[in-house]
Amino acid sequence: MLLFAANRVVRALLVILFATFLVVALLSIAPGSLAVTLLGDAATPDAIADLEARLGLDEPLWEQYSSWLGDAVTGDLGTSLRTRQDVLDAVVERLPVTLELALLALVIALLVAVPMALLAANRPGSLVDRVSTFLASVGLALPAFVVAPVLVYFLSLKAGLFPVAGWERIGDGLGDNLHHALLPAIGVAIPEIAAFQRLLRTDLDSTLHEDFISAARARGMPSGYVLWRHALRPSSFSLVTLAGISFGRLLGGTVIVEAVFSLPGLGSLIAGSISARDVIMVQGAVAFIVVAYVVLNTLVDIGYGFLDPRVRREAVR
Amino acid sequence: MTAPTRPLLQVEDLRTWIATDSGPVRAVDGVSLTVAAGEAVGLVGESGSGKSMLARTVMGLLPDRAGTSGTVLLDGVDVLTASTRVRQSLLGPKVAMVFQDAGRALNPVVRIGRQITEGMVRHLGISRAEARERAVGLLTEVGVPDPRRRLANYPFQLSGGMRQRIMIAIALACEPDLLIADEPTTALDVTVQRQILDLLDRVRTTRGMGLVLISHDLGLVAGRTDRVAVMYSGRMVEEGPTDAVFDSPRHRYTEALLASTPSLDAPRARRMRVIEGALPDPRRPPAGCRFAPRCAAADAACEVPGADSLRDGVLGHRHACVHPVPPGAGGVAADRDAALMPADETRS
Repeated sequence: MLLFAANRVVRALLVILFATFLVVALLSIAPGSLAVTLLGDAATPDAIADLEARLGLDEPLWEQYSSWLGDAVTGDLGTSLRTRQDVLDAVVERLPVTLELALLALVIALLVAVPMALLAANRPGSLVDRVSTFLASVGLALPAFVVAPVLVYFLSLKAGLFPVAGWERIGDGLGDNLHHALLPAIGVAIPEIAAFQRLLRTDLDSTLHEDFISAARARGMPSGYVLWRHALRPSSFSLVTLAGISFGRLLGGTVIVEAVFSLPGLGSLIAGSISARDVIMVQGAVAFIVVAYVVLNTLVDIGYGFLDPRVRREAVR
Repeated sequence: MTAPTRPLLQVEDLRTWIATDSGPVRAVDGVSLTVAAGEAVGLVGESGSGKSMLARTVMGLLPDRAGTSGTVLLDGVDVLTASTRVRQSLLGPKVAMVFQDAGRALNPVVRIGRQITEGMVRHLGISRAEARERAVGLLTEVGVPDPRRRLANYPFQLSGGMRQRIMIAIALACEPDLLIADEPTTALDVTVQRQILDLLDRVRTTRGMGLVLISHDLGLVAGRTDRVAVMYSGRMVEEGPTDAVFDSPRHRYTEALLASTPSLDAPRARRMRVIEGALPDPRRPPAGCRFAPRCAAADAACEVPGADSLRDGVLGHRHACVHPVPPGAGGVAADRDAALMPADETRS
């Protein structure tokens, strides 16, 4: 198990190096001179050269990267060109919002999707199965920019159950915080629910045809028990992978929902920085998300070892 | 003790079919079979003869597209019409099944311990701790070394033979009156097959259990059962005391099946006899005897519908043949034991 984990960690480091290199290279690869773009057409050649030197754009790519990496491992992701704020500080300040949103959405999605899939798989072809699968298809087809405003309209404006927009920190009271976070999280969760339900439903279906399911039934175990205690775990490998990928994706991908609900998260930070051409901020934030994404997926990989005892041994062999 | 003893398992005119796009597949087509308490019955036939479907029908393990008619009385309860709750309460304490391939019939991600104990906790109403103690005893009984540690193992950590022993321990957990073993040794190495069959023999005699031993291998069933039933294309073609069926098969199919079993005393140069042709299409079986298209003795009388109904014979030796083999003519009585040694002995 330890060897297996070490193997995954080494792989993750390689992926992180490669991906951050691409992020840094973006600055040079982007067409036109970045300094000109930033300073405007009226800038003097001296000012342009000065800025290029400050950004390191006059150095070869690998030197740019090694100095960026050297700074990055000490926690220095640079300073925002626009606000003069430290990039890491800005990311860390915004992170809790996005993290909570993604985590909450993931939990909601799993809590809804797993029972839905179990109910559907229990009686394939039944009304429950068809309704559950139909709802999942609808959810999958609904993009967040449709779901989020609809939720706001009905649950906030009409029913008054949730605030229309805004955010409360967890530190200022968990109840208030959840009250603000729940609706955006549901908006983020709905497409995930759909994907999770479809995937688990399919995997359950093939598991239920296995001999060991027949064997458990032949021991007189009721079908609910067989589903929960025998079929769910061997069916959940793909689901765990997808959930891990989804979580990583949501860290950088809740932009629309954050915009609709005006939440101070990572997504709105990146969106704002892009439109303000704050490349250092974009670079730092994207690098941060890349690392978070890879770390998450590595944890998921290692998590397989706990789900499936066979993985543990294969890695040791 | 004046009341007639009720058979443990009484299958009466059972039909099991599976709906397919090209019509129902008649997997079991009007079969009757009884097993008395403590009796060992062999159920023999080639792949597709319906023997496994018969077992699955008794255990309620049919796919969703299957249908059944007839009765399957398990200790007097018709499992085909009983409620799910009643049926589940019988699975374990009344009847249990040993599957063909323990590597597939044990859940790969569940420890051996839970797979043995969960049935006991449910059916016997005992605590988990007590069930674990009993599991240790069961594993000892089926010859699994170091049983306490095995409880914490996953199936992939054990050999094929050990897995099948554990499968048997699971089946024995709730002390069933009847054990159905569906090709219990087919997936095993030849050297291990004999051990598993001996184990089944031993637990059956010590516990006084009924046993249905399903196999495509006649030799395997020969020395280990009281009675044998031969199935062909969903029909029962011959049934009787094991000795009688082997010494003097009456149905042409049984005779051909026996003749195609490899034997040690046959001259080396002689080619093994094979049965020409293949099983009929189970969606459109022949009207009369289903073996007729492959049978050298068949004539027009064999194709009359109902020609393959079972005819009573001496000592309950019944057969479904229009032109039966004359008594004593087709057997392998001369050196039956040598001819019908289990496969592992002849090959090892």
